[in-house]
Amino acid sequence: MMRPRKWSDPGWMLAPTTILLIVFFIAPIGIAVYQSFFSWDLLTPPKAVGGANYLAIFKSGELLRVTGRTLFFSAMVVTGAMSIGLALALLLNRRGLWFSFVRSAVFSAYVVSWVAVALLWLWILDPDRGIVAKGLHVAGVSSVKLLNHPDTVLPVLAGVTVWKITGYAMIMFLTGLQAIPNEVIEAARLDGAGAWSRFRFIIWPMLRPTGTFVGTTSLVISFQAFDVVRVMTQGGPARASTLFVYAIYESIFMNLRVGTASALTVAFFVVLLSLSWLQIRAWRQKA
Amino acid sequence: MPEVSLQGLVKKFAQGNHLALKDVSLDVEAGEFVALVGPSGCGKSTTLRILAGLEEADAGDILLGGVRVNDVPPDQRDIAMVFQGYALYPTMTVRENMGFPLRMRKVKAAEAKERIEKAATLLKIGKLLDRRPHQLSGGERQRVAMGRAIVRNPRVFLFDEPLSNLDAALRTELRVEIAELVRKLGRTAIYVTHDQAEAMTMADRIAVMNQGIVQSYATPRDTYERPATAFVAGFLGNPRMNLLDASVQGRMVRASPFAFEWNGADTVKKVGLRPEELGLADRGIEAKVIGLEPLGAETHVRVEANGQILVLRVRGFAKHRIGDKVHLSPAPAHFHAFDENGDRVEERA
Ligand SMILES: Nc1ncnc2c1ncn2[C@@H]1O[C@H](COP(=O)(O)OP(=O)(O)OP(=O)(O)O)[C@@H](O)[C@H]1O
Ligand SMILES: [Mg+2]
Repeated sequence: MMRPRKWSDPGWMLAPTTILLIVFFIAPIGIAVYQSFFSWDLLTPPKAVGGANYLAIFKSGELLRVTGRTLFFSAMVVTGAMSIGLALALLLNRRGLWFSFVRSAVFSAYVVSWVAVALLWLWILDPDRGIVAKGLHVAGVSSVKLLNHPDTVLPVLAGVTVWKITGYAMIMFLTGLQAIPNEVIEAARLDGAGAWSRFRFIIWPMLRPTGTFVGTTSLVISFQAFDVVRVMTQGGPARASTLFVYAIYESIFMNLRVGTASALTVAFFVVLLSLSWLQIRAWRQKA
Repeated sequence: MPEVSLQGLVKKFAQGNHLALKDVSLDVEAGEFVALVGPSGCGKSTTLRILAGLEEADAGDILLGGVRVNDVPPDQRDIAMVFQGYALYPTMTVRENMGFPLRMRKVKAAEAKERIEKAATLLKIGKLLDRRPHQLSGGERQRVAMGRAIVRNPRVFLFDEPLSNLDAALRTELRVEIAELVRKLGRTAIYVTHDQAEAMTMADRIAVMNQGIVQSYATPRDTYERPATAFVAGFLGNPRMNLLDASVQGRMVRASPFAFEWNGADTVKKVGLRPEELGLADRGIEAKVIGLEPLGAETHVRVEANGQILVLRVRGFAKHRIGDKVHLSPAPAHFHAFDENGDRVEERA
């Protein structure tokens, strides 16, 4: 193995990343942890309150409700994006102009900004003028307000999120598929494996590292969902779509409770970290 | 009835603008070991892949045991193939790799275990069964790939340059083992190789391909001693056969700097002389040494005679140096004559 000539060499090479990590990651978390022990409304000076903020979000049930909602939303997004992304990758992993066009089209949704996506879907789902409503009207169904019903709002937001990030999952899976040598697939064909067996025993095990990566990143993306909520529902109806990040936003900018928001942020960090860790471990074990 | 019969195969790839296979016909008898050789891009792999069912021919028929299998999918042709890159399943252990074809064919676990262990013993990989491919050396991977092919007990083995990624010593060792193994199993095999030594030593018959056509199909000895075309003559043998422009004048063939008595058709346009068929003499045709390649057991001597460059083979180390004047014995015992199209012309008996 190569050894650094001076102990400081690896140090300064890592410095730029380390500085970025400190400024944008470690310091904010530190500040959030610190502020979570204060009560502050941005106007009057902060007051130290100990663990009162944590106790409050826990006792009021707010933390549990928000976490549960976000988990439900994330589960839909992760399974949706991964399964559709994988299916598309398998379907579109061929040569030809047509396939390359469809691949680009699917991926293009990922490049569009979250706000634009949210506005687009808001328009599509508009109960009066949206094309979904018009289509349902033609089919004889009276206007449904998918975004205005507590039971449908989260699946709809999850659908929109899946629509946007599936292109990303697809590209990652395509890259994984292309790393599988053709010879291996052909050997499996000669060994008597049909399409399903080839997928089940050869392709899928070889895609597992890609799957772990896509799973974890889409978990993080879905946990951080904010713009869709902000633009499409503002957390409603009846807080049914108040996801974690939106709840934090609400505490600061609407309720002016920095302490509560900070406590939520710390909780958010802990939940997301442990989920990612669990997920990566689970995938490793199955391999 | 031949075990494998390829009849007039034609293949054009969508991207290519020429025919990869123009007219490939080949009969292989049951239990026969056939080597398929030819320059890069001549269509060897394509031929194997069409036979295996991995590629479809545009025209022509593929018969296995007399049955046309053009439309039979690869998994039902009972053919096993060993790939150049081994194509092992990276996420499976050696045991699982070898067991995969059995598992796909729903062979009972107990029987599969027995067959895997038998094959592993045969290939001396019994100790590696629980490793994964990335924990194996190239030679070991090659053995596992062989093992995966033989546990199936297929009717035909196909090999596409299976040893080309290994070092010379290992190649020599494995080529003996593979040939012995396939003969012991009594199976039919087609073996693509770039390596003349492999073709000569392993095969019952050698098929030489060039530009999508099988140019010659004969025993190794016949292929070497009586090459069917000038191309085959030049392709097999190291160093290559000397090919000289020639013409018939009366009862002589003139191929500068030589002239031979000739009792045959006057269509001869090329004369071929193997390096070992040329000898040095005390007197004869004058020549100048222009290159020496000492290999230990023999030396390849390049000489120029009458404006013509020739290579000859001498035993041991040559005593000559570059620039020396030498003499070539004027009448080599043996030569090969070819016509304008490169086809062999025989002397009248
Ligand atoms: N998938 C493909 N698409 C287009 N052309 C191809 C394809 N596969 C092979 N060819 C062409 O067909 C011809 C024969 O290729 P093939 O692989 O059979 O050669 P080969 O004799 O096996 O050569 P090598 O000794 O280099 O392996 C070549 O001209 C090659 O470029
Ligand atoms: Mg090839």
